[in-house]
Amino acid sequence: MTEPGPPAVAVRRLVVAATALGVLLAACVQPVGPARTFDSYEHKAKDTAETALSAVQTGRLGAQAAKRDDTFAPYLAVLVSEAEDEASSAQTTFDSVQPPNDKSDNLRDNLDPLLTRAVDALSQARIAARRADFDEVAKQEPKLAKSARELDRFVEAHP
Amino acid sequence: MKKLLGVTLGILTAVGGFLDIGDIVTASVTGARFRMSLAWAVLLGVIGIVIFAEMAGRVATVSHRPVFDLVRERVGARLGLANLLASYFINFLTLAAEVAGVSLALQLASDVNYLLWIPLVTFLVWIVIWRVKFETMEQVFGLAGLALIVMAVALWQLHPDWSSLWHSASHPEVTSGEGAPTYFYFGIALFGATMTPYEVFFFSSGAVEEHWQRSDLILNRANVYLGFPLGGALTLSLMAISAVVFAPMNITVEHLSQAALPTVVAVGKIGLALILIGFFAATFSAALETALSSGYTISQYFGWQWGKLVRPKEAARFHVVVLVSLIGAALLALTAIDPVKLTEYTVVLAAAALPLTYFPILVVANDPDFMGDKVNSRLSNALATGYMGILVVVSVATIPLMIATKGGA
Repeated sequence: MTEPGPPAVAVRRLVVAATALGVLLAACVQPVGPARTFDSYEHKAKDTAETALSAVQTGRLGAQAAKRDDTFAPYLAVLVSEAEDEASSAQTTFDSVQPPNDKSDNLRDNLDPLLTRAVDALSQARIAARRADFDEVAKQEPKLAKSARELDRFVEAHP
Repeated sequence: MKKLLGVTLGILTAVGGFLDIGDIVTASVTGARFRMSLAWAVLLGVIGIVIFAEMAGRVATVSHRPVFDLVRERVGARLGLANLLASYFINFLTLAAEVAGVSLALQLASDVNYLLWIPLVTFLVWIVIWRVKFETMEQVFGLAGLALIVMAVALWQLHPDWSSLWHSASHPEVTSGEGAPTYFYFGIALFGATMTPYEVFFFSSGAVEEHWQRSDLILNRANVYLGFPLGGALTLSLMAISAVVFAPMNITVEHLSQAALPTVVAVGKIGLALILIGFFAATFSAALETALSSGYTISQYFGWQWGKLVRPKEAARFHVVVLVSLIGAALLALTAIDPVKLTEYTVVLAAAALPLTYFPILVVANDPDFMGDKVNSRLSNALATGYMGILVVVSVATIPLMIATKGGA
């Protein structure tokens, strides 16, 4: 047996470092875990509502800019489209979590319609933005504002 | 005139270095989540990068040798190689994030998916490095990057409660609903974004390429003291407009499109046009700097002929490294990895790796045999050594915080 030379040592260390980094990044990934208690489920519901609220408020600012003709259509389309993806993804993730009990079912029944209305309003705004129809985007602003109030109330009710 | 052009190098490095995709993302995210309570991290980073770049520029000017040449000499071939691998890896991730950042800026202007822009952006970066003169590169992107001053105008136009912003910045505290680990994790992210190592590789290598003499040291200091704080001020402006517009509306920043939104709210179409130009210029110049830094670090370590001013035929290996790094970074970005998340992880890892390059430069800058009368003064040595302590603490704390907060979630 011969001692490995410096390049072999360097390669081995590189592999070890790359593996360690991979493990580290994997530790940062947040898979959607199951909710075994109502508290855990409620926590996930609140996080979901906060994400949707952020997306809706972003869409609102975009709609207000469209109303004032203060933006360009390509930018508005990207902004609203990403907001819609954010809200839609949050809803899909939340819906994939199994509610642990009846109380959780009620919570799900309360939140899901709010999320659906939020995603619908953002979808309408995105379709209009892609058509560069600023008037139509602006018309979504009241719907988005209502959706934001509903989500905000939900978040406040579940500290 | 030559001196004026020299100052442009500082401004380019400041705008392209401070306000690259890392700064844009972290300043927007932290402004929305923590208002101005993490402004101290930007300030700490600005002072740190000023100390680091001034030392590296002075060492390069006196010795006519750049960072990685000295790193290898001072720490030895083996430790130098480990240092090189870590620095190159982080530089490579930064390059991938910048290429994605340029493509995202183009997506915002065109509504064409950023993945489709990546091949064109990669080609443009390479062709600029290959064909465009150093001075032209500096002037075009340095001046275009200054369009980001619109963020300071936007802050003014938003008529914020200045006393509230000042109070938030001067009385830092963990925001309600956030944990202390998350707060400090994002503090490290801001610090890492402000004090990115590639700025120093690029800056000191540029000094060697442009054959700076001892008489140019005043120029070195002017570049560092003027250019970098300008970048830091723009970072704080971005953090502030994000705090003013997003925080009251409970908006969290997840996309580059959102980073431009406060400027749209305050300045309208002209503001949007300027900020998109600024995003493009800042990320493009950072892509140029990181691509060149890839070639600089490896070529300097192995003692190859290097430099943008050297004819490609005479520095073939340097240009091959730049090209291969660029293609690799483009392929990484094309995997559809979330560019914002990639940026967040990159700036944090950059902070963890800072001592690797900072320490050898500090040692050389303190060596009177090497530096002669240009050795660190007592004051600069005290400051630089103090920062070494900060960098070690940051480096040790980064990984546990990253795991504990699940990457700042």
